[in-house]
Amino acid sequence: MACEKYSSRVTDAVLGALPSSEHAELIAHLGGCDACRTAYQRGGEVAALLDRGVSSLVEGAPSSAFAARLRARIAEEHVPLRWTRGTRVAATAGAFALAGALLVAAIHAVRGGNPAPAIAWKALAPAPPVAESVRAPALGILVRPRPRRVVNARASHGDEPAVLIDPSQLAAVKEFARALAAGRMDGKELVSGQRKIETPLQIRELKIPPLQTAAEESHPLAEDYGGL
Amino acid sequence: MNACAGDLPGSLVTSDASLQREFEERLSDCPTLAYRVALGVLRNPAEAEDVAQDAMLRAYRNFHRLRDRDRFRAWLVRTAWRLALDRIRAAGRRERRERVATENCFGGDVETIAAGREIEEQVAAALDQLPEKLRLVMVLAAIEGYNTREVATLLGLPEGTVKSRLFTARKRMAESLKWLVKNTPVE
Repeated sequence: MACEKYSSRVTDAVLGALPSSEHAELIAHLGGCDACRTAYQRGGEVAALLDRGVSSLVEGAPSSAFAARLRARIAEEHVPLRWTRGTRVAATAGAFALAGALLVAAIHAVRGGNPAPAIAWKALAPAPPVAESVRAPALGILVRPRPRRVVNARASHGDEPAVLIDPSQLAAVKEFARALAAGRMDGKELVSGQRKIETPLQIRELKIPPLQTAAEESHPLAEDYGGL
Repeated sequence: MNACAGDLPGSLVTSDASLQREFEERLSDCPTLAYRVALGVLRNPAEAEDVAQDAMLRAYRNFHRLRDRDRFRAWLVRTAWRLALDRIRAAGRRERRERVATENCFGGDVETIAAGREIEEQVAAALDQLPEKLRLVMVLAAIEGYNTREVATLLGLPEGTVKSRLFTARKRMAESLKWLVKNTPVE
């Protein structure tokens, strides 16, 4: 039996965990102690046996068919390498864009090509007569309701330009035009809904000084643009 | 396995050619690592190869997160180990199939071979008695030739921790196997 003092050191030394200073002391002791020397030798045999045994348990390689089998499984499952985060974001955005486009196309088809959502409820209503149009000389325009189909405003009313107004705003615009025509509104006072705007817009002439040029030499484009 | 790297068919579905090339490079040595880790648990070459296949397939699916070589190997080791343990638990048994071998590392003649097989079984039994953390370190150390730095990299642990666990594992196994070497008072 190994010496009581050195028995634990024998195990540690055999397993390669003994500090170098203690290892030297143990080796010196082994030279004079048969019991410890025998224990050290047999401990070494056990350590070598278990190391060799564990190594034999895990040695080897997959069969030659391993790679082909793996490739077949990958191809069979159509397993794509996982998309990168950016690709996934782009694909999601594209899917939403496509869904939005399909939704717009569906709405467009339902309303028969008229893109104005405000007049969807007007689809079955007859087109308003020309008498409903209001002339607003102060504005120099003819206000008339927006037709169900886009038409050439110049062709329908000759020389007077026409402003297409959304029917939801038609009543307010007509009232505004009538007020201007009747002189009840001078344009300087604006009423928004039931509120009176305290500080209406002030329009002042903006004086812009002539452009100062570095040289008065002739420029190839000067004639076309009336001088620079 | 080196022949595998360039033999993958071009028809593999992929959205990233560079990822595909990198994965093919891993095929030169990583399947063997997964196989040997699984073999350390299952002790059966056929089952170990099945587990290695599953681990490599999972690695392929998650390769976008595993492009670093060390990270890939560490992930593969943990996955193969876990899959092998799951297979044992699913089978509900702890005994191992006899490993088919015509010779082992202990000798050449019939009696020596028989003795060697018994020793191998005893070593396997002692290994199975270890707690999972110690057993994994022991298996990886045997695979990596007891290079504790490589094992630490694979497990994501400090090298000192690996050395400590390895020492504890070998000490316990030596205690279980001391009777194989007669009159060896390993204390």
